[in-house]
Amino acid sequence: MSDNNSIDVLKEKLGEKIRDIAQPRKRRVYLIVDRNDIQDAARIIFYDLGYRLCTATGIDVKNGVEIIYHFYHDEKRMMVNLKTVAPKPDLVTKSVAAVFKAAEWIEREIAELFGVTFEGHPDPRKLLLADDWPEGLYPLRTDYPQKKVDGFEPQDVDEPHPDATHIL
Amino acid sequence: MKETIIPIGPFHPLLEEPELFTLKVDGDTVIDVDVRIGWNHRGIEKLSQGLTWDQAPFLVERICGICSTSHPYACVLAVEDILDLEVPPRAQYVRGVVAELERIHSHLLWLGLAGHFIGYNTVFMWAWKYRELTLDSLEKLTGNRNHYAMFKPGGVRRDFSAEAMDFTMKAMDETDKALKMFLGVALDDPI
Repeated sequence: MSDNNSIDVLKEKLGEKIRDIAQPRKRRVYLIVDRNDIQDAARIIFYDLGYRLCTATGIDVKNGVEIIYHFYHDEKRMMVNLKTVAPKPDLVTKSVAAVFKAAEWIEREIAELFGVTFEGHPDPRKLLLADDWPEGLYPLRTDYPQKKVDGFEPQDVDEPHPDATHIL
Repeated sequence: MKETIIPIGPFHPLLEEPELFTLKVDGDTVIDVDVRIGWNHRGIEKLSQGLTWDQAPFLVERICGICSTSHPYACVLAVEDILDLEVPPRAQYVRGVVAELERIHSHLLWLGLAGHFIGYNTVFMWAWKYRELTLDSLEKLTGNRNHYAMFKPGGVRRDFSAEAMDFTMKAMDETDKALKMFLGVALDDPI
């Protein structure tokens, strides 16, 4: 089941605020907005379209940290992925915790692991890392060193290992 | 109003994993709670950055011990989505069977625990007894009772043997029969 209704509603309600919108597959919509419009977009997706917030993810990209809020509609079985970028060097974006209480923890996690500041977050403490974790060290950034495991070398995947069973 | 603060955790016999609940109570009423987690944070995301796409399913399989299909399944689906890979029908069936068997063992596990938590240990003992049939089937089909390592981007890592499939069919019939009996017993229990 799919519908183009969601995209039309989003286009109509958000209008100028949409940086980019795409539907690469039947059941997935990518919506990119400015960091200042993230709350408005989240409200429309949640209240007007009836999607629920699944989670949020962060990715360290060239020009900052990209935050993606993943929304799912259980009846339409569709996903809307709301993207925004917290640009370098300050990495500041708006929190959606005022819209969804549930976003609090995941934003705290993204904040401590990427060093993003969520403006308007009600409780910006660390979530997972230890209290004495060094300031300014953000593990999920790509410049954070990947600790090498002794004796581990990624294997060449083009050449299957002789003991590997075949792929069906 | 007199507020009292009761910390539970991070290490406490009641808790399955370390976490800290700081309860704010007024008499018997809990007014507020502050939850601290993260003692078991393993950094799977960072670890998987150092792996190839072929290696990542093995790592994400270990995110959770009793749902060791869901994470690699999601992982290979994401890779297939990115690469636009088509999975052969038989591999899709194999994935489906593993995922469904895991659903059965997981439901039985939680049914047992639910019984255990309310002090109805017969449910616990029986649910886990009949869960063994599913685990045995998974062991015969995949080689492991847990962490099956069946998933690979683009397909699965091995096929089922005919013998294992026969065993699974019989085990599932038996599970079905046992659960029907179990349901009747648990619901009609006069205690």
